[in-house]
Amino acid sequence: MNFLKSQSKPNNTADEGLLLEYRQTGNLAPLAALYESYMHLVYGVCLKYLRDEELSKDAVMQIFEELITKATRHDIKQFKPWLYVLSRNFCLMQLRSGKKLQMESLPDFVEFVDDTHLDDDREEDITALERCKQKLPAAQKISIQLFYMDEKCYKEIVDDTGYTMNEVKSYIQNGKRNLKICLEKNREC
Amino acid sequence: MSAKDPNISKIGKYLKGQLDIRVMHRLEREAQDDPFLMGALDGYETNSKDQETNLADLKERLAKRVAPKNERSTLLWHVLPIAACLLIMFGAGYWFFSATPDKVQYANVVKPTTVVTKPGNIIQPINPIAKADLNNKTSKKPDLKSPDLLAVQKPKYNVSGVNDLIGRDTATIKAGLPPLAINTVQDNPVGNIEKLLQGKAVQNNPIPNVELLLQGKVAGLNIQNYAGAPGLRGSVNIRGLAADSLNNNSANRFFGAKTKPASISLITGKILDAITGEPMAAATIGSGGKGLTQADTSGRYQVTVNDGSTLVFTYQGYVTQTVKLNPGQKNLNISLTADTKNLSETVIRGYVKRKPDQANNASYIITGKEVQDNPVGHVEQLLQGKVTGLNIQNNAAAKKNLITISGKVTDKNGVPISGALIKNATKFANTDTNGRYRITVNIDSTLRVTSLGSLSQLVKITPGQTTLNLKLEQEDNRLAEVSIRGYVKRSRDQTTGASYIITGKDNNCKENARFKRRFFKKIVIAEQYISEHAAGDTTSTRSGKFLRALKFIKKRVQVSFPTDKTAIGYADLKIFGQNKSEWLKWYEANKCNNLK
Repeated sequence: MNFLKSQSKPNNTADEGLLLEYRQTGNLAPLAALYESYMHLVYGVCLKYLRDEELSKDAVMQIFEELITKATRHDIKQFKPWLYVLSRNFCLMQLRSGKKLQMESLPDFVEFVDDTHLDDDREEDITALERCKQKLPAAQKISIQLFYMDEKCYKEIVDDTGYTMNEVKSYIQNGKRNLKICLEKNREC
Repeated sequence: MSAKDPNISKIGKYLKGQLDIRVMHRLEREAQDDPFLMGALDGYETNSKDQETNLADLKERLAKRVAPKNERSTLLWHVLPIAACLLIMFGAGYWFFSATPDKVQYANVVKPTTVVTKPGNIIQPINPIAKADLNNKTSKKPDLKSPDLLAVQKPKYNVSGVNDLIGRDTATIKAGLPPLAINTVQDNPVGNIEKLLQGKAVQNNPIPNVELLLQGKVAGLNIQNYAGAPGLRGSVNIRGLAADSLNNNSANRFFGAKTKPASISLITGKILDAITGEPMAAATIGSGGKGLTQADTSGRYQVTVNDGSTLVFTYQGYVTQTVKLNPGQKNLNISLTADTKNLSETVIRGYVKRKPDQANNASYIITGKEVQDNPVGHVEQLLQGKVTGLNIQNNAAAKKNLITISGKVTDKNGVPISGALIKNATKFANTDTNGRYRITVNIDSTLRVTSLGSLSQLVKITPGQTTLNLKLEQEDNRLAEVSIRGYVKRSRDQTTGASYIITGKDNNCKENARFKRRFFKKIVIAEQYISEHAAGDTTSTRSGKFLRALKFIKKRVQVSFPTDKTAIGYADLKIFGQNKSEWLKWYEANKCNNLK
């Protein structure tokens, strides 16, 4: 039942080590190694926003250039989420610069706080979760049930329910969000 | 990075549906927790092509960027001879072909007969295992001229996407492409490519690689250049969609062993209202996002779809039903239930002034000038003749049957409701601030009294009645959002959509637009500064702009943190957030006082 908890335990120490090495020596190699391990994600995000392979490839390289300067100036607590924000902002700025819109400044650093502190052992939490689940719209409930409890993948859910792939994705995402909101409300009371 | 992190080949396989179901689930679950991965997956999904080569290219660029000296010279020596050879080859080809008549002929009109193939080869796709194998080899790319260079890329579509694929291929046929041509390309060793190109479509193209000549000539054929991949010498991979999927069976062979051939079947059935049992004429039956047919007057429908398709039944005001057909199912009766959802948004528009490009529906701009000189008693009559298509009838003959009703509308506690609407089919009136109204209607009218947030009431007028007082019950279900637009004049703030300056004769609000701009700008300056420095251990500030902004605000409204240089405590965004909402509240409350 701990699916609201973030599962990913980022491999911080390795990332931090590389980052530290770059900061101390100014040598690009460790930074490049660090960047390369996330490059496929950066590239995917660029593809999402720019929708063009060549543009995205250029963007990936430009983001690396930004990284070279920003990695020294910013206080990076967790590299992966920070890089995500950096990449996304870069792409958005690319899109905006075409339209001459105002740019938002990149925050000095971004903190990603896992705001769900679910204690699995506590009975009441589990019952609260169950109660919240019952409150969800039917489609979200079914999708959440199949995805998290029955551990099925999107495609199986599509086959089982007849929803489209995109519907399933948004049901799971919205359902998860609704559950979080519902649980937080419960805690406040 | 941990080895568990999904790498590009895993993502690629995931998108092609090659992963084990458990592995797929794990990846999806990871994406749910990780917005980065989720975003990347979205990106790869929108670009259906294989991205491993691009990634390899990027890695090389990155390596180059980090150590520019080592790479360049060696790579250049690899590429130069190949480029030279190709240039010479092509030059010879160009000279040869230019001797023939120069009428341009495109590959899609190349006669299939010019292609040399083994007859049995034609609709036989390449063994799927071999393909998958090839896809895995990211580092070791096939050399130019090796037979497995021409691999057919397995289409990204999974089983449920059969429709899409068929749709695409049909388009290909319409475009006049002989499907034979692509098959031959896919199945032939490279040695035959030149023969394929005997069509004159290629003669004028100054492209160094022979394969690239095909690019853009054949629908559905996509040629990717691997030039950037490490250890690769300008080799080319030709990928095409399975063009032989003209019939379903061969299409399905492409999807590997997992799939079953889809067959088309005729589904019939009847659509009824779940409660009344009445046939739902004109209900829509759709599948895969497309409307297919509508039910007839007796609610019957028939539709031809693939076995195992999902049918979607929709009808305005009813809950949409989605049903997945069982294999072999021929009959499907559906009952739809009425949708009880409330309106989620109500937009009430008065006279809205818009730029012509903003107007998305029929609205007219009627200015005060047009109506001010008219000595007319009723608002409706002011509109007579001003708006095309609007016809206002003045039923003078019926006047003797009219009756004037007056009264008061209150809530259940006796508090007057202002702005309640009293209307019959043709006339309406609103209550004033004391809840009073007066309306002249036909003697036998039925009045409907409505007010936002209250249950509406229907009252039949008894002959001779002149007063009618009403108590409205409060309504439980609230509307989610109501936006009301009056005379809207938008200034340059309009991009924010935050507020409008409302002008008009009855408007007492003297909002100073200049002050407004300044005030909000100061808030923005303060917010920017604070959010930029929120994390730092700022104990004093040197930003004069920020201090000036705070002083400006403080002159008018309370600021709960110090505004001098030595102050600490800017670090707290929460405190600022509270302050900001107080400031905005203050502005809303005082904006009509011509602030300076």
